[in-house]
Amino acid sequence: MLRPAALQPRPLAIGFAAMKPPLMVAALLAALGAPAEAQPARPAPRAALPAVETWSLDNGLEVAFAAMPSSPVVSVQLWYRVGAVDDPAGKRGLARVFESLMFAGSGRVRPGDHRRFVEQVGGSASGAVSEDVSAFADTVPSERLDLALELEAERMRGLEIGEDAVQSAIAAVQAQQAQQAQSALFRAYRALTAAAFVQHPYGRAAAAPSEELAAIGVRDVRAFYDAFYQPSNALLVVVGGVEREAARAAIARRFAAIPGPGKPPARRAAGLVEPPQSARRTAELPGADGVAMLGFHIPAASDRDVYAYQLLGQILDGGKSSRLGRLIASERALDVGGQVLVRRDPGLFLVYAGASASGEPEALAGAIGDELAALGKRGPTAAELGRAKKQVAATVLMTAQSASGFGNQLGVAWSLTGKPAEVERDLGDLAAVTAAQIKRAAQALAPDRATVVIGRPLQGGAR
Amino acid sequence: MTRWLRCAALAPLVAVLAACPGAGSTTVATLPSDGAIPGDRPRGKPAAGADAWVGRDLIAAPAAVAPRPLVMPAIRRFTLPNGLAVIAVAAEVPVVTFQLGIRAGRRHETRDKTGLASVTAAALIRGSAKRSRAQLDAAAEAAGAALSASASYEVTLLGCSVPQVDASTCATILGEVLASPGIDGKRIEEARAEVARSLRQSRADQGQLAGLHLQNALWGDDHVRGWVASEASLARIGQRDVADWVRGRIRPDNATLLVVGDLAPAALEAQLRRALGGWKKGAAAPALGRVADPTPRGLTIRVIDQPGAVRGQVRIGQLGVGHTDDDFLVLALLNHALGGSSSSRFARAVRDKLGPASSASASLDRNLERGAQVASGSAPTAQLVALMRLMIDEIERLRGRGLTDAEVDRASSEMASAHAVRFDSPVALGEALLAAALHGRDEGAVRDFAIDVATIDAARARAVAARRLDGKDLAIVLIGDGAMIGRALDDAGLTYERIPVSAPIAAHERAQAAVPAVAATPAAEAAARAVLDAALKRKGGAERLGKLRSIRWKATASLTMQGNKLSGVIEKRTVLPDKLRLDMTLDGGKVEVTTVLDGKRGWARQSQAGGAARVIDFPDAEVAAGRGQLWRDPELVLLRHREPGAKLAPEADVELDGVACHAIRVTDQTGTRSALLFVDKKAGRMIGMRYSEQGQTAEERYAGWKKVGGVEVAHRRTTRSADVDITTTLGEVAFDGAIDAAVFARPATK
Repeated sequence: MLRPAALQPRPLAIGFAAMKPPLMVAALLAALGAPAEAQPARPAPRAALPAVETWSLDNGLEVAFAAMPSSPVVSVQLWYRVGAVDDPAGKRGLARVFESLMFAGSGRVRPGDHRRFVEQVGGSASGAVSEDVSAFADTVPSERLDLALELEAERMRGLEIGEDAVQSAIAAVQAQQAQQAQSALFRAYRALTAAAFVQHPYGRAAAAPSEELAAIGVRDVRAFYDAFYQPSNALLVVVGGVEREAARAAIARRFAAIPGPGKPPARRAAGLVEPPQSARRTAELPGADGVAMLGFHIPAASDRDVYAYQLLGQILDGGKSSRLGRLIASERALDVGGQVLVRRDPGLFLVYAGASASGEPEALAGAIGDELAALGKRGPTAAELGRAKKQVAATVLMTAQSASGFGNQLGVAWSLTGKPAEVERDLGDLAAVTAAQIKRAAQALAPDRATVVIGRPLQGGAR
Repeated sequence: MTRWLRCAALAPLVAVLAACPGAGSTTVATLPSDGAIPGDRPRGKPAAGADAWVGRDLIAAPAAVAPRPLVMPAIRRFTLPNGLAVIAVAAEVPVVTFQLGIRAGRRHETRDKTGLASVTAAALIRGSAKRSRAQLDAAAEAAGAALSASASYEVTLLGCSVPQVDASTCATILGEVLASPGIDGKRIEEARAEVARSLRQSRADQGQLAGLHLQNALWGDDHVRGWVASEASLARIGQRDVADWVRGRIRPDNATLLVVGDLAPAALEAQLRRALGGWKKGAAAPALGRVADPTPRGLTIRVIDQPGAVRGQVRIGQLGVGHTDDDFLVLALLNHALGGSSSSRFARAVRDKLGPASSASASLDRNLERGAQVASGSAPTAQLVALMRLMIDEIERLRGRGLTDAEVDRASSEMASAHAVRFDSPVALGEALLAAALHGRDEGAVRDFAIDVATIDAARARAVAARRLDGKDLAIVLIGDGAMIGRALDDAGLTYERIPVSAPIAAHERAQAAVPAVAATPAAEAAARAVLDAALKRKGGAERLGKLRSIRWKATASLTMQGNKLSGVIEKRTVLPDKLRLDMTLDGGKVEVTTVLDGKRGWARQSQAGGAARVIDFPDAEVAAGRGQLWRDPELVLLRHREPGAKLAPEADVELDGVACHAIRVTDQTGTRSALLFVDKKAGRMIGMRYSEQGQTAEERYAGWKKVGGVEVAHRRTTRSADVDITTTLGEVAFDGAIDAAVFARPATK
């Protein structure tokens, strides 16, 4: 099943390209655990993960293929370069309408049959739309590769877009947003992104107002579909227990004949520059009592500094023994967490905490700032950096054990950098991050560059 | 728990960011003609012109493929000298996964200590005799390892995954916590709190609550499958219970270890001998006497009343068969055909007759012992009874006529294919092998599943359906707006039991909450009386407390309700014997609530900023609840056992926050008011109380003791119930001060 982790700006497009003997993996992981200061920058090592092969069809469709011979399944994923940032003015939510609309039937597939057919062969089908990218996936038994390819090829250009299907899909988005809005943390995240991004559409892409959703019509949907759901704007990922030549032939048979404009469409956010943040921004959020959320701009995915930010996040709260874990140990916080939202354009370093009965959100925000300042002053210990690297590596390697998980990693890498095979070097680059780089990253997250949301009781009363 | 980017972290934010598996937008809304379970999402009208596809060159539905065995990786089995069976699955992956399955689950618990398996599992990975929890966590995380523990009906599972280079870390930690568990009271209390949190979350989820009620309704209070853990049963679990459980059940010769990874067999065996060799065999725990499976009771319906709920759930249960029963696989196929896919009978019937807002599915327990077959449905409350009837009709139809050849083929093909797709990763395959081994089966059960299921034909399916399905002897649970459901059931002429959503699940606990059973031998009662007398003396003495005329305190308070937190100030004024006023000011004065008991009357006033104040008179039930509150006042409740006609009943000792306590139930002469008082055995002080109010169980804890006017007063108090957690910190406390009687008078405002 396609996992949304892949759709969000996520930590890193990590993975490996070449099938290497286990010894190489051991060497890599041993390096990851070495003392922080002892790690020189060095070429990216590779590990025993599936080899990735990429190619393009004449219509512009990019393909990433990885064989996992022992896997009984194949994951077929279609990634489109379109997300909530591409919503037209006054029509926010349009990109997310496709999450369900893509199952609403096409010229040769009745509504609902896509999922039904996949289920009939024991598989699963899913879809998700984030700020930057939209992806649809089918995991099926290996021998059903052609079925999954045929279904995905069919809805790439053959979607039937009628009034009822559009209204149903809009209702699904509204229901999803209503459910999300029940969460104080979601509302805090929405407030934070709105304050953090003044120029880039990331600031307004977290949710769509009802009136804008209601304004979306069939014509808008068709125009959006025609603009973005094109072979030249997509990556096809095929990972699993299938042979290379058979996969190549099946892919060509199902996708090569699809006409396309040959080049990707322009995106609304292209060229938009988010101005640097020079002063602390704060917002209060009624009805989210006790929540403290901090966000900082970080570089875009193409910047190699994102590895240091990823590890910085892991050092702050990578498990029970991490720095922010102390807030819980001291009973000031009920929970803490965060995300390093690496994105195609400038990302966000996000930390949040929920105050306990004896804690105050302002104090928690201050404590988080203190930990960042301490890291900016002294850097991480060797043990902290080693632990963070191992934890990130372990998570990535575990995810990549499954065809769908590894397929996700390829899709994410493509959505962030344009290159699915970028996964080959991520862990290597991560392993090369030094304590000094972490220290610099922490220094960049200074209090005067923070966007802070403090949850308040309902109607703005004191806590 | 603190996490960074961990997907189980605060679910709301994860869902928001759609950044983790299973969160946010993973679920693709299904469309009108899509038969998948639609969940709670509203749908539009069915697509107009569905027939527009007739005559087109449509992509054909996939044809079934001939069943074939799974291609299995190299599997090695061996047994360590301590009796631990090991399954090593070779996989060329850079991560090693350990999963230890121990035959110690809910089925081995006793009713009064339901939840023991889960508490022990959680306590096991919270440290060892050699290292604290912090040290163990640090060691695991330094290697990039992730530890987990859980308990199911049959087994306790301990898991650990780690990059291959550090595989010894997992083996060492598992060996350490098993050989030298060193579980103390603090760890048990932490584990109990974690399990209690999980219970509360389950009860807050409509579907999970329906499932818990169904198990109890189907199997009854006396059968182990009908037992449901509660805060009360968790509170009864002490250090000795956990120690006995570990000694008698967490044994190497009662377990199987799965290892998946790229490890040389000889090296792995040597590593496991070193790491787990210290885990010694022990004497097996004695076998438990069990009651027989329930006998037919006809159609029983339990309605869980959740006033105002616009959607509801239905669960229909009947007995299944054990995993080793010859009928098991056929019954699994029947359930799949009934409600296992978007092509199932349920899916088609619901789509045709009720529309896209409703859904239904079916499942079968896979345990060695006989489990349940459960049909599950979700619908708007207004449709719930119609959905229930439709599902019963389909079950009855399946029982009477079985499946067609085509249906058998389709179900068989779908099950076989899904079986293969499950093994998207080598760990998933290993887990299936472990599950098979714990049921005494070898890898053939996993490898040949597709072939086995393909042997089922329509005749056999029909025979098993007739033998194992029942459309009349069913336990049914409906959860939603009780009034609406009740009307529909009344119209259908069906009888039912209606239970408040916050009431205890087990029938005996509900009965106990309603009319507390009080029976004790004279000697036990005398001993309990002595304990309470001593606690009363410590509190301030009967003479001092008995002469109190008024009590007044102010406190800061924090309330947590359904994940939302409110803070504010509470003032409580009591004039004995029968006046009580509680003023709550929340959200910085934006919300004010006053609750008053004035003798035989009661009223409440509520105001919100910008809105007019509203005063309501209490119905009799609320007045009675107010009197109950007065009776249970923490400053006064230790006097109650001395009142005429009061009864005492000692219950099993409990541990509260690691403190050993007497548990003594006190009931008034009418038998309508009751509280279970917890008295610290060492300090002789009452530190907690549990009671039932309007069908809901609540538990209070007291701490922060200070003397005020000769009375020992707890200045820190917590109250927990299914709906709300309240933490109160008292500031001002005064006894026998003047309180104007006018404050209890009902204001004229409507």
